[in-house]
This record gives sequence, C-alpha cells and structure tokens, in this order.
Amino acid sequence: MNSYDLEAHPDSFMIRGQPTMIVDPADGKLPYQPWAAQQKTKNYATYYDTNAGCLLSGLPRTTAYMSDQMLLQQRPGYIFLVSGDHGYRIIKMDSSPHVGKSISLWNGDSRGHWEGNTLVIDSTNLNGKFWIDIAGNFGSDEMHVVERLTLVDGDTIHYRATIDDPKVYTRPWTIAVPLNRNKSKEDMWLESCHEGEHDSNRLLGAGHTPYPGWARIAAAAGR
Amino acid sequence: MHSTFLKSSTIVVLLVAALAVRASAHHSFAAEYDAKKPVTLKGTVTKVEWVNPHGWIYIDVKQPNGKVANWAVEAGSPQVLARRGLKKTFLAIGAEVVITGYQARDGSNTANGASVKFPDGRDIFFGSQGADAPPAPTR
Repeated sequence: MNSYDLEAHPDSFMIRGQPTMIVDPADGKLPYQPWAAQQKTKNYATYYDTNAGCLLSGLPRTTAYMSDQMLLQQRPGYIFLVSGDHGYRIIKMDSSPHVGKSISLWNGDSRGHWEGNTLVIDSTNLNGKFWIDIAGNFGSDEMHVVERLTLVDGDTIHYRATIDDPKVYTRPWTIAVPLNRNKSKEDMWLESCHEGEHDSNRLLGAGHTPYPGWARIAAAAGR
Repeated sequence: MHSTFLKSSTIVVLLVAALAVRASAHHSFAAEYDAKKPVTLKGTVTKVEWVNPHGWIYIDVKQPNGKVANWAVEAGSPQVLARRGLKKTFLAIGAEVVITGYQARDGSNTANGASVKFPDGRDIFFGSQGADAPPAPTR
C-alpha cells in the first residue's frame, strides 16, 4: 500500500489509487472531530509533509505503508530497520512502563509481547509532529498505537494497527495491510536522505511551509 | 514453523516490502510538477547525482533556436534505480539519451523523470514516484 492517503483514493497525477486501509470504522473513513477534519484539509493546502524534508514518519506509517523494512529479532528486543525513512524502532519485549510524559519521540516508545503467533506492540509518547500520510492526515501527542503483526504464511505478515487519539478523533480506528516478503536477494541500502534532498525547497517555492506539528496547530485552532 | 521464524532467540532477519518506496512517500509531486506539462528531452548527459532520497540526471538539450539548455531531471533513489536495472555507468558524461517526464510548476528547466531511452533501444523507467508511477508521457 502506498502512503498517499489512508482512505480510498483514485488514480491521479503520480499517485496510484488504492482502497482504504481503514477496516474500522466500516465506512473506511477516519473518524475526525469536526474541527480536525477541517484541519486536515488545511494541512494539505498549507503545509508540506515533514517526511519530504527527511524527518521521520511516525506511526503507523513508518512500519505499515512507508517503505521496505527489515525486521531484526534479537534479545532483548526487536529492531525494525526502515530504509524508507532512515529510521528504526526498538521494541522492548517486556512489561516495563512507558517512559514519562515529558518525553516525546517521532516513532514513540514501544513495548511488545506475544499473543500466540502475533507480535503485539503498544506505543505511546509520539510527538504529534508528523503526518500519518501524504494527504495531511494527522494525530496529536496523545496518540496511542497498538500494532498486531501476524505471520499468516511464509511470505506475508498481516499488519493491523488500532489508533486511539481522543484529542483528534471521535473514536479509535483500525487499519489492516499486508506486508509482503521481498524475495530478491538484494541488501537493503542505507538511505542518507539529507545528502541530496531538493524537494522541500521547491515546495517552499510553491507556497507550502513545513508542518508545524500538533502543538501549534492545536493552539491556532483554539484546542 | 511460522512462530519459530519470529520467536526464535537467534537473530532473524525478515525483509518485507511495502509497495510504496521512499519516493512516493514525499508530499504529492503534484505540488511540484505539472501534469499538463509533459516533456520529452533529447540530449547528452552532463552530470549525474546518485544520491538519496532522489537521484538527479542533468542533460544538455538543444533548443529549436540552436541554443543549449541544461535540464535537471529528478529520478528514483539509488536503490530503486538499481532494482530497475539503471546503472550509473549507463549515464556517462556525454551519453545520448531521450528522457520523458513532467516539467516543474515553477517553469524552470526541471522535470520529474519517467523513462530514459538509449540509442541501443534500452528503455528504462526511472521515475522517483516508485510504485505510484503514472503513465509515461506520450510525446
């Protein structure tokens, strides 16, 4: 699945259409609070995705629909290396509490455990500075993400994530996507994004400014 | 077996591929490039930047008035280009190419690339938009 829009979208210029990733609510739409639905539209018209300037992509985008990724298993935790946004996640496989609320992170603070063959990852402490897709959909610093990864056959992980963010949405919502094995024998190359990034300058020239993040848009919206 | 794959205490590597590659993860290219301005650029390579997140190919294009204009064409990431079989050695300085793409909205000699054609007939898609590739321009 591509990261253009979590919701269903048709083919358009340089964008491949695809069905919605959202399996709950049943209509496949993000259950925004009314002000937040307006903010999403404003986001796309006003700002550009922080990912375009080589910042990280947050959750669930980083793992679910961003890029090729390599899942490494080693004690005492799991490391997800993500070539697409030059970041990684360390999933602590224990029941220790999340870090304190004063700490906010692009990819959050994650704890994992097994439920049968399903790896369940609970993440909080996200910084609210990223878009969850290119279309301007967003979350707050209270976003709570629970991901469930199940190897359903030798080449496919069924990925499911439920996002609860009462500052922005009226109810929790869930996406489901397949993660398919890359059967080529190639290595995953390091992406040093800053070495040749020119798009953000052109986006600035087109009148877009960098997305300022949850704290500023919430203040501007009187939230 | 499946649970062993993920639960083993030994180091296990699983490489999975979301369909979208880095390039498609940027802001919509529609903000930068104009769907109504497809271009076909016939010229010679002057410089290649094999860099992340997008490579760049520079070519000198002879204009109808006889003057030469240098164009910058945005490409996929080095890893994407490698997967598509486009090697940097194909693009030696002075190599003749025909590139199709879409011009930047700002009107500069900048384009988002789609395909590159070589005199021997090789025709390689090298666009930066990855799995979100649009149809190549027809002219």
